[in-house]
Parts: sequence; C-alpha cells; structure tokens
Amino acid sequence: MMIRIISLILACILLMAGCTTKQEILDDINLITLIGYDHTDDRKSQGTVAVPQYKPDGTVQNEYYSAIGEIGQDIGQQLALQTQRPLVNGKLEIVLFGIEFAEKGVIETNDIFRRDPSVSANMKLAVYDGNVHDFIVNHRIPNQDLGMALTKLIEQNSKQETFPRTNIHLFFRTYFTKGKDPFLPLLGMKDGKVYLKGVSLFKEGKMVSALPASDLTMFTLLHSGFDSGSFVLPVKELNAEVSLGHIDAEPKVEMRGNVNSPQITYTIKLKGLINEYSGDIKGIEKKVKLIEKSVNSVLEKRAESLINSLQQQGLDPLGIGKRANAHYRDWDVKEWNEQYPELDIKVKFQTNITESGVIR
Amino acid sequence: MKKFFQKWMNSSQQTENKKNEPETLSDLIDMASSSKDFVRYKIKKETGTIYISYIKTLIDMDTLHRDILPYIQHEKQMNLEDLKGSIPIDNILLSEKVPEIKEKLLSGYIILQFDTDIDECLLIKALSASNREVAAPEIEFSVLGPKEAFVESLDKNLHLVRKRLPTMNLTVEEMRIGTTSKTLISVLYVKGTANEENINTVIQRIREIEFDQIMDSSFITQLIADNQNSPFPQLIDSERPDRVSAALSEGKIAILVEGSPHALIGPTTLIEFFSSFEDYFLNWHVATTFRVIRMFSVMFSVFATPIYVAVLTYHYELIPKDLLGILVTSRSNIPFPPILEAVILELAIELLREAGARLPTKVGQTIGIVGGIVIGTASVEAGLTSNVLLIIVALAALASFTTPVYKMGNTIRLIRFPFLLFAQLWGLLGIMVCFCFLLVHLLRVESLGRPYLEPLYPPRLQDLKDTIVRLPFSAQSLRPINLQTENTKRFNKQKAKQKRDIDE
Repeated sequence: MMIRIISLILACILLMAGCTTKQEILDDINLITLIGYDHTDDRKSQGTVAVPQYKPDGTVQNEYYSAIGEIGQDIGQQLALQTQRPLVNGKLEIVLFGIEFAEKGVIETNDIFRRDPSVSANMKLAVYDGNVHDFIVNHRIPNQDLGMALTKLIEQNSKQETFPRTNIHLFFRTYFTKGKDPFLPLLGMKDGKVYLKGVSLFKEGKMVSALPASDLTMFTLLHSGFDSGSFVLPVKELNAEVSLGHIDAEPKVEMRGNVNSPQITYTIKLKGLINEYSGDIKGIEKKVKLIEKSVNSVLEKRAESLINSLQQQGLDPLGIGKRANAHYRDWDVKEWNEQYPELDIKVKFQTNITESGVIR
Repeated sequence: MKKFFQKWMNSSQQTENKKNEPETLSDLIDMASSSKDFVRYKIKKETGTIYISYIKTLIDMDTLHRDILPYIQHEKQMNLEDLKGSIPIDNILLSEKVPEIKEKLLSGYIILQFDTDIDECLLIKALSASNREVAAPEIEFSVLGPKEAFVESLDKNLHLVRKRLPTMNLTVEEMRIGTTSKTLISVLYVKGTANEENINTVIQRIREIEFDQIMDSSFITQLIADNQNSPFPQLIDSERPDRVSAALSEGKIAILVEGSPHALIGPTTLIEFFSSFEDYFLNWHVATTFRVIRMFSVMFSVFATPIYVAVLTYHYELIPKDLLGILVTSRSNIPFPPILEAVILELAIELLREAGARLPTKVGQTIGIVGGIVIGTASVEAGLTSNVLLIIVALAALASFTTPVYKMGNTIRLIRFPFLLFAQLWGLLGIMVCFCFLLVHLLRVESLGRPYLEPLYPPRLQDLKDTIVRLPFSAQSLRPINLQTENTKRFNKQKAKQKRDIDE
C-alpha cells in the first residue's frame, strides 16, 4: 500500500514536471517597462520597447529595441531577434501611443495587454503628442528606468488631484460603459522634459481631441471631485489672485424632468482654505465672503465652458450619460447621444472658505 | 561516574547472560568479585565475624566510615537483628531473596553478613550522591522569574516540583523501564484535576516500552509519541520546575526521568510550543505582542527563503517595482539559479549552527563570528550568493531561534527544506501544495490522544485565551477544554473580581 502511494507520488512528480509554467529567472529575462506604438504607413505600425538594464554598480541604463509589423505578435517576434534574453511583459508599467496611432484606434492593441495575466491591471496607458519612437530613443534620463519615470509622473498627478486616476482597467471599464467615453493622459515634450500636457479624449477607442493643461484641474474636479485639491483663481473685484488649498469637493449631479427633456445641474460644494493671496493680506477675514462669491462665479464659468465644449464635440468623459442611465427609466444610448450636445447643463458652486490665515 | 556505572552494569548483564541468575548469595558474591571495584572484607569480633561487601564506586564512603563501621566494631551483636538495631540508619532491610539483594547491591547498598553460607543479610543504603547543584536554566532562560532548573537527580527534581505544589493531590507514580538501564521514571499528576484517561494513557504507554536503556527523557518522548514518524515533538520538554508545576496544576501530566534534567509535559498542542513561560511573568499586552512576534518569526523562518526562490524563479511579476533594481543588481553576478544559491546558504547556516553546538562554548563563539562575518561577506564578494538572500537566510535562521522549545526550533529548521524543493518545482503553487501536506499532517497528529492543532482545529474558542494571545489572568479562570480535566475551574471568577480596597 505504502509503496503504491509513494510510486504514485513519484510518478506524478516525474510526469507532471512538464505541466508547470516555464521558469523565468529574474536575471535571465529582459523586463519590458515601456512599450510605444507609432503609426507608420497604411496598416503597419512600429513598436518600440524600453528595457532597463540594472548594472552591478547600482546604475540603470535603458536599452531600446524597435520593430515594424502588422500585429503585436509580429512586432514581438522581430524584437526577439534582437535581444540576448527573452522579453517579458510582466513588469510593463506603461504603454505609450503616438498621437497618430491613437487616432487610428487603440483597442486592438490594448486587448493584448488586457488578456495577458502577467500584465498588471494598474498598468498605465498614455498618448504622446509626437513620435513615440523618437521620444523613447532620444529621451535620456540618467540612472532611471524610463517606463517607471513616466508612470510616476502620472501617478504623482493623480495623487495631487490634477488628473483622475487612470490605468488599463479603468480605461476598459469606461470603454464598455454606456454613456461614458474613455480618456487618457496626454504627454508632451517641453525644453527636453516630458510633462503632462492635457487629456486626450476618445470616442469608440479612437482619439478625437484633447483638453489643454489649463483644463486639467477643472476636469478632475468634475470627474472625480477633490479630497485635498487646490485651485489658483483670479478675484476680479479685488484685482488679486487667490490660491485655495485642501479643497474637499464632491460633484453632485441633480437630474430633473424626464428622459426626453432632462434638466441637469451640477452642484459642487467646495470646502477649502486660503493658501496664498496676492492682494492686501490685512483684514482678509473680512473679504472672505467676497472672495467666495467671486470664486463661485469664476469656477461656474470655467466649468460651464468646459462642459459646453465637450458637448459640442459629442464627448462625455465625465459620464453624465451614465448618471442619466442610472436616473431615468427609459434611457437609451442612441437617443441620448442625439440630444446630448443640445442639453442645457448648469453648474452651481458653493464655496466655503474655512480658514484664511492660520499661522503654522 | 555514571558512565562507569553503566559499563559496570553492562558487564554484569553479560555475565548474567552467560551464567544465568545467581542462586545463592555466595554465587552472587562470586560473580561480583570478577569486577575490581567490588570490595569484600571481614571484621573479626569476639561474637563472630561480620562480612561487609559493597561496590566501592557506588557507595558513599563517609556513610560507611562514620555511621556503620564504628557501631559494628564497638558494640556486641549476636545476630543480624541486633546489628540492625545498633546501626543508626533508617530503612535497613533484612532480606534473603537473592534477586532483591542483587538489585540493591547494584543500586548502592552495603551487604552485611554473619555467615557466608546462608542467604540472609542486612542491606544498608549508602548511595553516594554525586549530583550537580540546582542551577539557573540555560535552555529556557528567562530574565524574570525563578532561576531554578532541573538537575540529573530525580529526587531533587521531585523536590523542586513538590515544594511548588504543596497538595496531597500531587501524585507520583514510579516505574523502572529499560531492560539494562532499569531507569526510574516518575509520572506526576494532580489527582482530581488531571484527566483519568490521560493518566492511564501515559502510564500504560510507559509500562509497555520495550527498550534496553533509557538515558534521557527524550527517549521517552520518542518512544511514547502518538506518531513516531512526525518531525513535530508531541510532548513539551522543559527544564523549568515552575513551568512543570504550572502545567501540572493546569491538569497536564509530567514525566520525570532519573538522570535527565528535562521533564516532559503532555498532552500538548502545537501553539504551546511557541509560548515561553516568561510570557506569564509579563503583563498580558506585552506577552501577547511577543507571542505574535514569535508566531510571525516562525512563519518567516519557514517561508522566507522558499518564497524568495519561487518569486525569483517563476513570478517576477510579484516583485514590487522599487525592489526590482535591488534584486536584479544583487543577482546579476551570481552564476547559480536561485534554488542552488538558497540551498548553499541554508546549508552554510546549518553547518555553522551544528559546528557551534558541537564545539566548546568559547570556540563556538569564534565559529559563529568567523562563519557569520567572514563566510557571509566573502561569499557575497566572491559572487556566489546575493546579499539580499544572505539577509533573508540570516534573518530566517535568527527567527527560528525565537522558538522557546529547542526541539521545535529544530523541526522548524528542518521543514524549510521540503518547502524549498517544492518552491523550485512549482513556484508559489508548490509552496501551497507543500503547505497542504504540512497542514494535513498536523491535523492528524495527536498528543497523548488529544488533537495537536487544538484550539485552531477542532476550534475551541474558549481555549484561544492562552494561545497566540494571552489574555489577563482574570480571563483564565477555566482550565483548557483540550485537557478534559476533572475539575474545570481554576479559581472563582466572581470572587477574583471583587475589589476589597474599602473596608465595609
């Protein structure tokens, strides 16, 4: 009996050894942290990968491989011809799309990463304003992994609440949601440094337009609200600028009327404190009411113009349609898409400045 | 002395086997005479000749010279009865049974005879007590609390326990086990508290031991274990009389062995091996924290290296991105795969421990330093092992030493190796499979017929009060369910809660 059990176990170990996943020893593989896609001509695209090389002395160098092909697998095979060690996707941090590539559509390319179990759901997607291959090959950051650096740039902005949280999972969730359009961070180059240039807006998986950097904060506020955000706003009445910090705000959308003539009002209660004031700081506590009023009108104007411009392009990255779907019984995508650009969406701000000069 | 005794016993055993049992006292004396340390002489007096025989390496000469010889020489005795009355020593035996005389001779008695032809003789106990003094515990050292540890003498050990439990219910049962060594074994329990079934189990199992020599209590642990093939010890061995006394009054059973400075306590559970007796000297928050740290360190000790091997071999995705650079850098020059690297380092640590344990204390310390610093850094600089793994292995070894019971520490170091093997074979899945094997084994192990994993499985919420957490004494009013004690209450909870600060 015992011998039978032991021989069974032995047989399992010996025969099933082939069933395991293949070994990928950490220092015998090339970890891709960044993939960039560019549109070349007709149906082909160029893929560029960045692979950090960790040197024994503790420094990091980025190595680049590039190949042109029709589909992802094709590019992958050509890349394999160039490398000493197998390229693996498991530590992929970010996928960059050249702006031309993004305009042709990114869903098929992303689908590979969505289905690959070794790729993190927190992997970032971003659009680069220009040619990604040139950017990856020419952009030199000393002693840092390029993919990680870009990811940190985006994550830092999400933490500072200048950009909503974003990753491949959220992108696809939005893509499959009725009444909401996906968006991605738009990166650009200025003075040899990469920076967050704005928001690239997608319709049906194809990039159609972009919002400038000046709209980033307002976009974030309308999309996901603030926990501890900040704003710099002019106060015309006092001819000064005010900076609000520690802002706590939650966008609330009120829906009235029926599905055929919806009345939509954004109500945002904004609670914050004055960080900086360019005018006369003396007696500021008496001006708080005035500042609050002025801030409200400036913010309302900005928000309304942002929403209007989105409406005119037929884009809904804020998910107003999704909220309407939750509210109205007979909501229908087609009808909604038709009436959406014509909707009158009001925005109301209720600013409450809680502190105006605490000395720390 | 003990060794010599043993040798002597062995040789006498052999002669016994050849010549069979002695039939008369003179046969016995003839047989004993073949050994050089057997002494026999006669004292001639007016009333008759007295023959004195003894094994000189066993008896206390002071007793003979001071308490026996003067009374034989100066007084007049006509027969053995007279002699018995005149020697001022208690418990003098008058016997004519040859097997009994033989046994007494071999356990340090002096034989007095008048006539060499008849078997009747006097037996006077004069065993020399060459015992170690009671000293501070070395293995289960504690900063607080009593500094007494068991010694090699059973009587002294019993004294150490009994003075802590002055109750009539503390029962000591004695038996001699071992066909050659005839070691005296005492089973201690508190009557009316300890479960009858447990007591019977222990006594029956010890009685049924068929073995030639019992040199230490750890022989008993192995011989009466429920599962002798398990790497897990199924009885706690302790050198602290306070721990044994506490266990006895809790309803457990203790086994003391002549010549062994370790008592055995049972039935026990896995968790109990990770509780130090010092936990009860600290207040419950501190004690609980230390126990949690100890449990964590056991987990760390078992799983750290296997997880390192599994992650580096199969699951590079799991490595946090900030750690990636450090790991790749430290691995980049190593010619071995992670498993070889890990096995080499683990074996090196085991080597060091074994070398340190076998060498005398002072050399042992040097070995520790030489091994730890020189071999460790040298192997990293030579590029044979990565420094990250060196840290992990060293920490894991350190963590395994936090286990208060030495035998459990050994087990923990051992079970790491199958985990390593499985980690190399199937990665994290392999670790999971190996853990399943371990868990199933632990579920099936019993300690004196009581479940080993209790109170985790079978779940006994009430018994959790003194496991990973140690609740305050006020919450410990009941004895563990696991022991099935005859009297479940330790003290009256209501009475303990009353505050009598103010006189009414």
